[in-house]
Amino acid sequence: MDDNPDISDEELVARTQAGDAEAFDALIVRYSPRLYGLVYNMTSNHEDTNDLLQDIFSKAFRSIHSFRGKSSFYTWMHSIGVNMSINFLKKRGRRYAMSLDDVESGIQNDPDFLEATVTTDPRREANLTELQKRLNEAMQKLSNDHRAVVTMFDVQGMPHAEIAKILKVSEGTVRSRLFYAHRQLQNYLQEFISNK
Amino acid sequence: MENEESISKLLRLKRYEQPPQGYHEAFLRDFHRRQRAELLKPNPWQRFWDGLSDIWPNFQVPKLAYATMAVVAIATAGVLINQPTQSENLLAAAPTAHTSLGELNVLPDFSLEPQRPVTIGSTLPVSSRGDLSQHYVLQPRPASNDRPLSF
Repeated sequence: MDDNPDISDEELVARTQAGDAEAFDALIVRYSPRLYGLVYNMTSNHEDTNDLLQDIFSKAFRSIHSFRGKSSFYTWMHSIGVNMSINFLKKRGRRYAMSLDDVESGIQNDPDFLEATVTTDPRREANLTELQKRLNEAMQKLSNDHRAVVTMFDVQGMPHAEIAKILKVSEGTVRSRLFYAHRQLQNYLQEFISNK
Repeated sequence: MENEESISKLLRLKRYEQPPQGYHEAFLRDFHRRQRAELLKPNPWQRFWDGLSDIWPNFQVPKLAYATMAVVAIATAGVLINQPTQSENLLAAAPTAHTSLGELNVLPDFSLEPQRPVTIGSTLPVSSRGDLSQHYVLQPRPASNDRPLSF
């Protein structure tokens, strides 16, 4: 089913609750790219992300009648996504292998990428693959809670208030987690940010 | 602060990591396929019985279960039918008290049969009232087996 942007989330949810399964398909089409990004950056593994995303939408479909509209559907879906990802990561523990997605070619023209890989310093002549690997390794060294905040704020560009709602914590907690996560990441990614 | 901004810029590059082309279209198809597979999956109880049947192939679980349930149902129905109802219990309560008392001869007998009055004091001499030892009285006529009221 194609996602018609004219139809609001609320209407699609109401139709799903009334028994229209195709309305939920539209919600999947609408939210799977964003939720994929959330789960992928939490797990650094494509296969795990795929399985987990299936489970997340399956749970959302089963629980759709419990959605009362107190928060936006976007927030509700992300809450399910974050909670299920964290539970999955707790079970997975440290035994995992990275299975990274391809990097879109557009990155080659991104000024931030060019800045990070500028060749003035030999240590920073990292190629694209190396940068991707190091970024994911650094992310996996963070705690699950810190990684969730970094993913939503830095990678997905969500505002602090939205993240606070999803995680059911205060905005202060979100800012604090971000601060400590960034400090840790600076140590892991020093070679890409030094000598500015 | 500057370093923090650099970290944010680096992390933003992760947005370029994307699943293979066509992934999201295939995801929906895969979701439907999994949903159908879920529907076909037997429930845990069914799996338990199936496992039990595998362990003991001759154990006809459903037939045995139905037979047992039928026997239990019949037995329960029998007990319920034979049990007196509540109204019967109430009705039975009063006569039962009377009967039991009657059996114990506590209540006076209201039958119309003529009975001689019992006068204990007059049958025994005053001197012997306290003497419970047996005594014999010689009758003027010898005892015989003839019926006393022969016409």
